[in-house]
Amino acid sequence: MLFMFKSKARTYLNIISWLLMIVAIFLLPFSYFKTQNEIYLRKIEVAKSNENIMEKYNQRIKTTQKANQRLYDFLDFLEQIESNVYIQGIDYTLTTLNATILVEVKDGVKIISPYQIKEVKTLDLLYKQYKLLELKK
Amino acid sequence: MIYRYIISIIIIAFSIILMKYDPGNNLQKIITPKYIASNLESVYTDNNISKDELNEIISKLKAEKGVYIEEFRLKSNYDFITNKSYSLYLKRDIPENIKMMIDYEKYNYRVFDFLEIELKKLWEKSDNAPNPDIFEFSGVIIKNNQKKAYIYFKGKLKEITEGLTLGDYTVLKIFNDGVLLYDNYEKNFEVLR
Repeated sequence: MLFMFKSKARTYLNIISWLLMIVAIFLLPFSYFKTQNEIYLRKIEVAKSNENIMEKYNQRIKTTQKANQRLYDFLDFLEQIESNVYIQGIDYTLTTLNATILVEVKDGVKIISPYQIKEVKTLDLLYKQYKLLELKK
Repeated sequence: MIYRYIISIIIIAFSIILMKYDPGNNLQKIITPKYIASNLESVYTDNNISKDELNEIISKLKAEKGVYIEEFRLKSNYDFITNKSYSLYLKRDIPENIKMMIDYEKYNYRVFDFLEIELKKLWEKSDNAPNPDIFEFSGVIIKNNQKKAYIYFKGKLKEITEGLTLGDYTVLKIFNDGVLLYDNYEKNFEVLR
């Protein structure tokens, strides 16, 4: 009886060992592919995240350049006037630009401007005249 | 049989470790790109700034990347005499991830300048210039190598020197025969003779 029990138990243990072996063999590639898949998904996630970061970065660079360019364009515009120009004041915000300038009156100088110009006053030095202009955009 | 158990347990344990493996820490994210900012404060105020300093500031601002200029308020303090300065209020929106600017292109805007007036020439041609009604010229004396003029203001004798401010007026220059004034409100040159 005891021999029989030993033999049966051994058989069951034998079968279980094989079953365990089969499960282990199937589990190994499953876990390997699962991990690989996890790595791939994480890589995609990181790539997307980086893409968003770069997009936001480039977007900010672009919008700040465009916004600030309004001020630099204004200064460049004043620089190219073929007469002496003196800035009296600039009031620049992200949405507005108001300025007051003093321009020497010279024959043949005409200001063609993308800005609204209002003549405020003539500054008469009696030997030379200057116009005080308000510019707006 | 015992080896099958041992091998199976090793394989299962290895599989479980493999499944529990977190790749997050080993996958490095790219470094967040840095914006470029100058060493100027985000809110910068200076009431006595020279044209060279102003050009320097503009040069720095132009080289920045990702920084908004929210406000740029500039006012000339020039009094036609000595105060060749500007008042500047600058407000910028600086992001958190920045690196400090190392080098930048230098610009020199000629429009940040002050009108030089030949006061003597202006005085010589000022015969028809307006006279302020509220003052009356009395005379000029030289005291300690400094020219001082005397004027009547509301019936009282008052001593004035060059550069003095009288209400809207600035005393530009005292000549032997009178005083050259600038009306800051009307933006006129006026004379007292």
